[in-house]
Amino acid sequence: MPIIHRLPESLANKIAAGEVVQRPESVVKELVENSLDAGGTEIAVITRSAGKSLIYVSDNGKGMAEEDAIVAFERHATSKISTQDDLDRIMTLGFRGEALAAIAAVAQVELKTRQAGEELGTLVRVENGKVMELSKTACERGTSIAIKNLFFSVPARRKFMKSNATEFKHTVETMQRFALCYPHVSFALSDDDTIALNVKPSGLEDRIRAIYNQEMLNALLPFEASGDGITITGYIGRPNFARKSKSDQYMFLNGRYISSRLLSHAIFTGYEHLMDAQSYPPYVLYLEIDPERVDVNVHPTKSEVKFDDENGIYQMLQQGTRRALSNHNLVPAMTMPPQETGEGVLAALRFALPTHDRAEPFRTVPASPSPSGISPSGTSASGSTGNWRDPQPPMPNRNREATAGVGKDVLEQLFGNPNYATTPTQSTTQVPGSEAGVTFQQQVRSVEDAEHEHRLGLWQIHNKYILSQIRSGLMIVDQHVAHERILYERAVKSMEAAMPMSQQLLFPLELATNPAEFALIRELRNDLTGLGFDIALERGEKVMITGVPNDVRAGQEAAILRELLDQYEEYHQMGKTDQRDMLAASFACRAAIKAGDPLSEREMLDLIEQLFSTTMPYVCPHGRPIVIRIDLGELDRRFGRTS
Amino acid sequence: MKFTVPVKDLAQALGRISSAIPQRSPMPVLENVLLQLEGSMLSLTATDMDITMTTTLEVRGERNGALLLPARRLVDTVKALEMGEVTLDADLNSKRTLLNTSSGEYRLSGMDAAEFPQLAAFNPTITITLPSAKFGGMVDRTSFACSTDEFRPAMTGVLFQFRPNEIRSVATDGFRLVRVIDHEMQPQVSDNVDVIVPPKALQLVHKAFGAEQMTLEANSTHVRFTDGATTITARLIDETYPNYESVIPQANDKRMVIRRDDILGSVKRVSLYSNSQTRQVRLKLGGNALRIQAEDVDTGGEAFENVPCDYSETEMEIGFNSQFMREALDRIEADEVAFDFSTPLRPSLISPYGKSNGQEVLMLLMPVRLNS
Repeated sequence: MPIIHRLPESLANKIAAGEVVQRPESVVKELVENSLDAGGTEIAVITRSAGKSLIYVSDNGKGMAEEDAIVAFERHATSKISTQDDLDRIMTLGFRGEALAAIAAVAQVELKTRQAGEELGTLVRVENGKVMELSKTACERGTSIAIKNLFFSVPARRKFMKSNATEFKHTVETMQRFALCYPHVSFALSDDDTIALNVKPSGLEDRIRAIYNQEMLNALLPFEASGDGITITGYIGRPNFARKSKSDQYMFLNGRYISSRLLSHAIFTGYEHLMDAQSYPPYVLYLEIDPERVDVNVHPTKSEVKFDDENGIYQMLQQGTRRALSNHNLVPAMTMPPQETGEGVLAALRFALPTHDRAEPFRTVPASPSPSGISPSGTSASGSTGNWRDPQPPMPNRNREATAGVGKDVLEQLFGNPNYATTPTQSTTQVPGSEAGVTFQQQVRSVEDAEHEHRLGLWQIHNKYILSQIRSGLMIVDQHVAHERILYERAVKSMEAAMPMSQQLLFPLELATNPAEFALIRELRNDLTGLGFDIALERGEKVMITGVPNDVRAGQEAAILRELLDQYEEYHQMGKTDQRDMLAASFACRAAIKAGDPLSEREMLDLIEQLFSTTMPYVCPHGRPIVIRIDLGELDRRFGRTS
Repeated sequence: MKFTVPVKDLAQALGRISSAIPQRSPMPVLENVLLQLEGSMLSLTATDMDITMTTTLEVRGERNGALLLPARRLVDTVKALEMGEVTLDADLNSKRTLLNTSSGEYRLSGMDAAEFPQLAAFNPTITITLPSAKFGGMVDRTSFACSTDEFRPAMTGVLFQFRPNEIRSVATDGFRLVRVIDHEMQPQVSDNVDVIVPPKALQLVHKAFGAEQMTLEANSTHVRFTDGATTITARLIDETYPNYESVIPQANDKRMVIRRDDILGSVKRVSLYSNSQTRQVRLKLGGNALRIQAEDVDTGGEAFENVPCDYSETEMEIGFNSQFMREALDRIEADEVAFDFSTPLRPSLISPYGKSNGQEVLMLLMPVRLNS
């Protein structure tokens, strides 16, 4: 007697359902995809008990004829593709012809559908994969489908469903993805009469505002990249709005939500060191690629995708991110909620965005590349700016301003006239008469001239922050993170040099270590030398420091080396892998001046000068902001000076 | 307490001690001056706990007593008074104090003298009389090289070594070292005495002392400098000084002799083009010429100068922190200086070349390893 036999269709469908239908959310996803593929522009989803007892999806799409309505429930029945060529060029969300059959295998399904031009629609009721009823009915144009008692025939599955709140959360997330991906479609979602989502057709900007809020909108920068038949548009978040979870990361490929570790890594690296590894930048990105060049048929849920040219897309995303970031003023300005008055005001200080950015129309990408812009290569010019030089040494730096590239532009964007925005704006808070293209140096100069000759317009408060008057208001710099950024970049550069500079010591410093530390130092020795630490290892786990980096605080060398190793270990445990990067970051963090270190005016000037010749003066290697700006307009408003 | 004194005398005395008054102190009482009157002798005292400065002056005393007065206000007032006499009249119970001049009066309130920290009795084990100018010169040549690192306290001070027939002063911060040996000042001590003096005390001595001779007294915890009416007492740094003699190389065999003004001027100019953080300059030696170079990759600045010198050894390249070079050269009084090198990573020595004025000056600089 043969022991291998063909499974009955109903059982095969149940097995397939295990892959396609995992929870109410996957039912919603499959059904809404069908609605979208049918051209629906109004899609409503109603659930009860988070979809465990009822999922109802209705659309105003093109509907089905009676014969199609029955066949739709059979496995591998689909209207979406018919030939191999179609499979190679998928234009629709679904195509495998599995979903309805799979859902019908594990639930009671009632489908009503009517095509335009027909008087009566069709009603099909399916239970356990069998058609129980087929009749004519009056209904709206389009299709509505009700899924009752999901998994009623598969108790094992039912048990694995989580609480209503959890299941519904997944559904909401899926609906949000659809809503972001298809702003021209209206979506509604409710559960047990609670409305979770209700968005009308709109532009993307309004859609984002509807799903999130204005603040989220402000947190985003336009993103655009194209080439080689690939177009990527959308928005990425400002670094200071990074989240601790990936929940606000959306990537859509040809209208389909996808998740790709590789591509999100591309974006993350585009931020370079604007944020730490535990932070996730929000983004909403739309990839348009010739369907022939991608394979979405990797997994039944289709959220995994294979590209023919992953590297190319990786590069586009990474460079596009850099470009988007460098095109924009990343210095957070501080504004206070307008309705607040009186005592609560200071407490209510919070980050927000420069007013001009907010006024910028959302969808437009800065047209006239803001005052000369940053070279699209996005690679920053290390050590460029000739601005911000102190007046004393009569160096030829000023000549360099013309060619200084990035540094100057960034400064202009930072401190120049914020009215550079591409369209007429209502930036009413702007000080009238501020001139475009004034460099920070010039601004400080003008402050100097106006006041005493010898004052540089820099003040240190609480031995922690540096305050400076700039043309558009007030700039506040956190001295520790500023120095950290400077040292970090110098350390990275220094490790690349074959033989970095190292101040030799008259009295070698002895560092007593335990075997583990000794081994670590031995392992890192080459890169430590790269940082400028000349190290001799002696018997008995003795480490002698004979040379130190030029830029560490004198006398702290041994302590800094030890702290550096501790910090390195910490990063290591956090799962970082790039040894040099970890070392550079550890070194920068430990060797930088601390909050509480008093600085002379000269030192402050040096610090700020060097800060603005780094490639990224706004955010420290850990992702904290370095510079904050308070617009004069904001101050005026606080003091009731605005009309 | 009541006395009358010419404004000029009081202003001078306050001026002498004013730099010993802490600007801001965790102990507010230290922002006062202690006035003590006994007969016709008024003494003024200021302290920051580590360094105490006292000066005395003759007044026409009427009523003895002691009182604390706010230092800033008192100094500023007396400095601004018109010439003539001023009478200070303090009620020791209420601490109300009146300053009377011919044109008006100034009222300020003081504090109980008992609140001022008690100064420990000072019993010197050695007493040395020194010519002020010469001693000042030694201080000047060494104290700049002190470390500011609180974790190596010994190196934050200047080491003085009193020997029967010489005085040495030494300072180092681990990157450079200065040793001055004076053979002319004869301390006439029977034993070797080593003390580490905080540089701030030495600066005060330098600033406040004008007489030709001064007295230095010391024991194991304190040092006291006296110049006529003024004494400065400082707590010594109670640490072991590193064995500096062992790091001074004895066999640096590559000698360069060069005019001091030439090399100092060149270093000053060229270093303007060095990196503002590292201040590093590169010295290239060979064929009786010295080339000093600097560059700053951050700004793209670059400069060099060629300076003639006497150097006939093998060619070599060595890097220094230009700040250290300038500070060392600035303090060598000689037309020509000698540099003694060994290898680019070993310490180099700088000393005056030619006749000396009884003081032997040696500066040691640790090089910076150059990036190739």
